[in-house]
Amino acid sequence: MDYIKKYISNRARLIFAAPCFLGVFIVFVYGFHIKFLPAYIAAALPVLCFYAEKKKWRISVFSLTALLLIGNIGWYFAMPSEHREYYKDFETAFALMKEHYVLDKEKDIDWNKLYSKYEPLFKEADRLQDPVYDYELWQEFTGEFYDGHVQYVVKEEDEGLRAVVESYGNDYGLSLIRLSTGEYAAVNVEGYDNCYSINDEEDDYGFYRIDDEYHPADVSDKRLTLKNAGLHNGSIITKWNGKDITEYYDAVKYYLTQYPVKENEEFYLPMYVAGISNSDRVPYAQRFDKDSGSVTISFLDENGTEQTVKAPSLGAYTPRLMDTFSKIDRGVNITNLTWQPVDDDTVLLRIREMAYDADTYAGVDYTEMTNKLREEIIAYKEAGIKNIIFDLRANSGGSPWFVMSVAGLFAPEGEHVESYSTVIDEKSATFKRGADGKYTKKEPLSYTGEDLWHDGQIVLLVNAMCVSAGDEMTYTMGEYPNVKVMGFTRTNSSCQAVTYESLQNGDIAFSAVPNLDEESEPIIDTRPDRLGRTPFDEYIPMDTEAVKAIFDLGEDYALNYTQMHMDCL
Amino acid sequence: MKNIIRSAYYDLRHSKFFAVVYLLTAVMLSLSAMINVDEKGCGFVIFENGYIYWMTSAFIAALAVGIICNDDHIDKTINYEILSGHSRLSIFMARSLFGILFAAAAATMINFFPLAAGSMLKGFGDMSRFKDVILRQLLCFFPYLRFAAFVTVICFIIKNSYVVFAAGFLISEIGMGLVDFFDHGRSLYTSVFNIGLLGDFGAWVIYNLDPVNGVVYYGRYKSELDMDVIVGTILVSLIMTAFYLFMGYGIFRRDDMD
Repeated sequence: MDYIKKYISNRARLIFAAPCFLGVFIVFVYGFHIKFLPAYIAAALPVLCFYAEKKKWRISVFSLTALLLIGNIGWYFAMPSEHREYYKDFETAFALMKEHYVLDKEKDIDWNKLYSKYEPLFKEADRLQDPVYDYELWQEFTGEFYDGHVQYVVKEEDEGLRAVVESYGNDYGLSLIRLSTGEYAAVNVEGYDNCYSINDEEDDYGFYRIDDEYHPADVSDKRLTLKNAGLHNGSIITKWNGKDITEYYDAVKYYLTQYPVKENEEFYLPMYVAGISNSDRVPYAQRFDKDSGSVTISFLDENGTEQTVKAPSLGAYTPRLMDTFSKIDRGVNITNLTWQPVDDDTVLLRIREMAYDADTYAGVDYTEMTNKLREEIIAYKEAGIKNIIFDLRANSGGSPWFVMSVAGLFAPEGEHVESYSTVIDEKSATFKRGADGKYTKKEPLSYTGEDLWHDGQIVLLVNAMCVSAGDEMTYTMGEYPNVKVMGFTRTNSSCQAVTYESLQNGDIAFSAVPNLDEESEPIIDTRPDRLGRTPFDEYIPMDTEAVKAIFDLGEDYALNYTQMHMDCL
Repeated sequence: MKNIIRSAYYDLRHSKFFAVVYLLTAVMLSLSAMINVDEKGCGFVIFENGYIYWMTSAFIAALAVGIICNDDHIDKTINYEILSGHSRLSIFMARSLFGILFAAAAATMINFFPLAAGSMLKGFGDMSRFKDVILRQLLCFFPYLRFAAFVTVICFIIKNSYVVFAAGFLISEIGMGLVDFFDHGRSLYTSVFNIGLLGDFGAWVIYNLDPVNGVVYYGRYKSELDMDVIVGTILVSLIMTAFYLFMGYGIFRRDDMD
């Protein structure tokens, strides 16, 4: 009897095993982290109690376990944070792109020059372990390719959000836009209806979750400084902190997205300038500066007299900048491939992405979609509709077969070659160039035209956010005789097929599959002259009328302008 | 100890349940490889699905350990062994050592069925090097060993084969599902994710646009393993196996068999 009493029951002894199982479970779910090493040891230690016959030994083991757990708190803070491999990520991405980026010859990419410029910078980011600096470098590095398909996305969502918020300067209560006249105007001014407000409780990007951290304590008192000074949407801005706005252009080293076409870049540049207070700041003038007090803005009042206002920083600029983009570029907010009546003569077909459904996406058969569209087009024709507006604004791209299927309904009758695929070396999975430096054409990707809208007008409403297969649709349909391409900006001009590589801290995407034209040249993408290579017929003027319509009235000015000018086409 | 191993081996040899499940798994994996294999050869199938096959096989390890370590709990054979004078250490070590070694070997072997079946149908192909794939499959022995040792601990706590089979099945299946879900899904630190790491081939995969077939993929694979993965797999697995056995015996040595 005494012998039995000496030992703890089976069930009670399971307590000794429980921390170990818990430890295994935690490592399974959360992975192994050196910062929790004492806790892992603490989880394993109670196993010794299976062998500790005497109570005092078991107490010692549990005391040690408790000490290790408490000690882990100190250990956690004493251990350096996990080293982020920013430099290794750059090395990996650079080597991969050097081997597989398909437009290096066409775009005159000097790999050696790029490497010698960015290698030390990424090394520095790695040494500093600064995620914001790393993000800024990636934005600048990817910008060197002036290709909408070269993009870097931070892997960790919150870290990415913070990097984006901190990388585009301070919010002085407005964005800037260059009018078609060449002047600069204030837009999205704090305090006006339909404009972005720092008090907005939600946004599409999730900035509202963290942007409060960037507002100064007395932001409520400062919020309406510009409005109270009489500055409004459309006010002409003459000076920014005493200098011409163009003097800040060189301080803008990177963008949120890519503008391969120079004209497009010039359209968006002033919007980025509105976040900068000091163009000489190091390392990057675009970095959010919590100590930035204010900028002095000179503007013309109602009488044309120059006034100045000291605009205090209201926080980080990124949310307002993104909102400005969205107001200008977003397009009609309805489901992909749905129609919307515009007036008695015109309907709009919204195409946000070149995708019909998941089943058809990787294939070539879009019969179901074209049958449906054909019926709808014929019905509109019979109802007396004369014009179709294709809303391709902010079209993110997708399948080339989607493009060909839709285009085929409107193309002149007969066979049309969209583009050519490229011969691939199956063993190395690379696209080789011939002796002349050009890629070798493979089979054509072609479609048959039905010319269903022969007697009607078609407008493709585009902008710089219309990219990839969106570019391709513009490239394809823009050549039809009854099609006109319009927008505030041209399409993005990036149309090679894309791939991406996952790195430790982010994902890098780049053009990796060439689409060729008759001459074996990659279609659409800009060359060193950075001229847009998709058809474009008419700029919608960005004037004070447009500014007021968009930012004061919340109207879709580009669509309204297109509709009003339909008769003149 | 030798006699206990012999008796465990005898039990296993006569376990129709194990034989049937083993064969069914081998057939299922082989069929899967034969269905998936195309002109690129079986090396491509292993590149794409290797870790799925290898994690499925982990269940075989759990099954073997469950039968070897737990059947004798159910029919009280272990009690009789204790009564007849065998030390608890010899009873535990005989079953657990034989169990985990047999389990790891059985699970490792079953992985050669899909490789053989796929290769017989379309050849191995030149997408990856044959010897690298063989090395990866052989290295799976070590995570299986660790997994089997972990299951041994569960066996000596639960003492019910069916619960152990279910636990083994769940862990391998859930692990398989989470390999791509977790950032640490391919790492040395847990056995199933270690298998995921061994099944992770470095690759450059790209597609081309084909007028008839749409998007067609092409790949170039880096099948050789880095030395730190090889050494890490062996080292971490052996350390954890030793720890689990230490823990398992700790549980069993004063276990109230009633």
